[in-house]
Amino acid sequence: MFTVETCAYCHLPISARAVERKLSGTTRLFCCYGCFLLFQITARRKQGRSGKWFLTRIGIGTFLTMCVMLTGWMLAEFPSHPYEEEIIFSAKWLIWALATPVLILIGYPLLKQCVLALASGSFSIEGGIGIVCTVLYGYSFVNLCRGREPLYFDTVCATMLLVTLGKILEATSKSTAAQDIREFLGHEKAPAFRIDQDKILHTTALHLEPGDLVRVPPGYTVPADGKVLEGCSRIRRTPLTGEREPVLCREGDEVLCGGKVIDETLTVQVLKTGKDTVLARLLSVVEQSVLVPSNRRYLVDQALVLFRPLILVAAICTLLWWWQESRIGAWVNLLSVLVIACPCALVLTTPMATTLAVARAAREGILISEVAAIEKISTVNVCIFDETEPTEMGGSHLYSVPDWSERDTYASLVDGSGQSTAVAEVRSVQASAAAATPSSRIITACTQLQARGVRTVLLAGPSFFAGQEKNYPPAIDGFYLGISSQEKADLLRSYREQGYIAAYVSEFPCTPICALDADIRFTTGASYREDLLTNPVTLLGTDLERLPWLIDLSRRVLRTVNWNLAWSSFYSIVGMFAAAAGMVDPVFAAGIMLLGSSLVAGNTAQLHNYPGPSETRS
Amino acid sequence: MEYLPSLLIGLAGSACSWETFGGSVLSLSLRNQGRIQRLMALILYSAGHVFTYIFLGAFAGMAGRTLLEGGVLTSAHAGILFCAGLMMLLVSLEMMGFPTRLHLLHHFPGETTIERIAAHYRERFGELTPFYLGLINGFLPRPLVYAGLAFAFASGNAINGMYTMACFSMGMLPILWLVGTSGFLISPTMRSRLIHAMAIIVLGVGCIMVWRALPLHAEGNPQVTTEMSEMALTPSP
Repeated sequence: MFTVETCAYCHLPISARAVERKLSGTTRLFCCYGCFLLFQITARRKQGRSGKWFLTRIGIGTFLTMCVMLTGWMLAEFPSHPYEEEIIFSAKWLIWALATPVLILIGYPLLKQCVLALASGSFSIEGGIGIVCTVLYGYSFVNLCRGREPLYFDTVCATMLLVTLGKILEATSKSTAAQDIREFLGHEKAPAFRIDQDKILHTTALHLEPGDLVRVPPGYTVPADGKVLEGCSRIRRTPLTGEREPVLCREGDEVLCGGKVIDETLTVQVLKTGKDTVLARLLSVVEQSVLVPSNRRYLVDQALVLFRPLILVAAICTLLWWWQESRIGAWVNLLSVLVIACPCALVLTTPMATTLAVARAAREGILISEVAAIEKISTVNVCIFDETEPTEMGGSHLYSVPDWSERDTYASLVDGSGQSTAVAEVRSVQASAAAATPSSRIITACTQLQARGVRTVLLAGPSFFAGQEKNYPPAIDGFYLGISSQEKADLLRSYREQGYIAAYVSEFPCTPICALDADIRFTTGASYREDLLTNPVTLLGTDLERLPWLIDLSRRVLRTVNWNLAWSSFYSIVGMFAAAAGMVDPVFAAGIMLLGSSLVAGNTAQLHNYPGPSETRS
Repeated sequence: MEYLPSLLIGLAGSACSWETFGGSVLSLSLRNQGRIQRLMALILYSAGHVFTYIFLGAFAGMAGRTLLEGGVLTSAHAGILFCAGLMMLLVSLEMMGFPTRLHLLHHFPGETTIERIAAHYRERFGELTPFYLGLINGFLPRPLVYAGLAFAFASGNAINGMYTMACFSMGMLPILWLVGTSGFLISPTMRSRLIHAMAIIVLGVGCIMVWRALPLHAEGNPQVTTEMSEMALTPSP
């Protein structure tokens, strides 16, 4: 595990190889060439000319490339028409005239990329493509001057354009994933209606201060943590507390930043703003989590370290192999190898999928503080629910306890027998514990977990009376009451020894030491607290039905990542060999690369719309 | 040649694609204050649009040529025309308000990227922006464009494909210009009537294409069965 830098454009972690560029005197790191290209448009808005010039370059380059290809296709049709030889000759020079600006406009940045990479002692595939395109252009120009065939101006232009567009497409997809989190993080820009004497000023959450009065109309989110002074409305606050149903807030109730007002306008007094709000603290967890690469990403990065030299070796072998047959053919095949073997889709898939999953889970009130946890969750096959503290039973969601009035009756009876109130209280709790049965929520969650092939076990501490074990419903595979911490640890260990991947679910504030042996630990809690986040996954609120949903989501993420890795590795490796054998045209290779990246990005982007727990159930 | 059907479906397609192109064209015309500037923006946008369709037509024609040389296109020609006709029938039904599953054809991988690049161009408005926007918008997927491309593909020749799509794009211009010059004056009712009228045209052309593609009338398309095959078999001089 290691923490990494983030890309200046898409804000996803950079781990394998960074593209380092000095822009406006500041050195910035980008995860890929595409991000660097798009950064020039979006992040440099203040320096309007550079962005505009970049767009103009791409626009002119696209138009001229289309002209080159059109002219080339028309030339290909000429033999079946009685055209003059001179027209064909002129058309070839026209193609050259159109292709030259394309080489300058689109090829120059690629060449610069190559020079910079070589200067830093590394090899850039995009740069390699730029060099080979320039060589092919030179060859074609010499052939044109000598009146020989073949000419590869159209191949050069189309390949360079498609590679550049492919990079832009990948960067766009990555920024979409990061935007998913940033939208979630974008609460500071949320509109706020501040009451200033008799006026209402339209501002943003960023400009609020404690003590301000704000109005929050229906449909808007509460811009800061505060207290309701006027009005009564339901507030939806799933990401904050995990409660799926809206909560009614009246005068005097506390409201949290990020909650969505449903019914009527509330007047709220701001208590905490900015980084002090609960939402800001939650978001910092989400933001930090994506910076730590998952195990799979680490493996992919390691594989890429080996894959890049392999591409280089394959490229050199292709060049040498075809050199004797045809020099220009050797360069064309080399270009095909470089284009099709470019491992862009490999780099793209894992961070994009995990980022989208973290953001998706956060929208349901599940905080993932370690991205690696997603991989572990997908493999879980036993889920151990622990309830250790009987005094917490009143707020527990694991067990149903008898009515408090009955407990009070019992307490008064005990108290009437001459014992102290404190002892009576303990006895009453014990009486409640003795009658404790699993709540309907946990039974539903366990049923759903069983349907996913996960065994479910319920544990309870020594304060619970033993002897209730046989009364558990069939949805629960094991029910252990009144066992000590050591026995819990032994139980957990025995499951692990049997080859189970164990998840340990405990209710805050209980995170017993025995849980440290678990493969993955979940915490559930009524609302956010700093110390809740000691575990990799926190389910805010008491809705345990999100647990099976989270397992589904993580399995889906893993499936998506695996499919994408398999597909992109397949077409890169097979394509590389086919290209080395001279079976793939460079333009076709660029088209495949573009299509491959599109498929990977499109497949991964579907995680953004992954149905929520209620939709999944329906 | 499928020039007349292409022209007609281009005309109908522009009404069908009102949401896709209408906004861009209208924003261009509203952005430019002067009459000449507005006209120039429209001309540039249309030029970009037409150019992209010509390019796509040539590409489809080249692809068709490759198949023709392989001997596949001659036998598949009727099938391609039948599919294009069927798609037009479905589009006409969609335009009339019947539920179809055609919305699936309105998307393709990379579409978001195209839209984002177009958005960047709109943000950084320059003299040539309308042209680039037209060029980029031409790549956005529309079912009737696929029908036009099917005709271009079936022509089996880059130049014929180019002409086919040029006719298609010319067919789009009247409504494109109508939207650009007075789009804000067209009421939703008027627009709805216009779309229904265009739906009837698409329905008619679709029926004719399906009819012509049926095996019974395959010989009614002589240039495909004889001329194209001869072309493919004639050795290059």
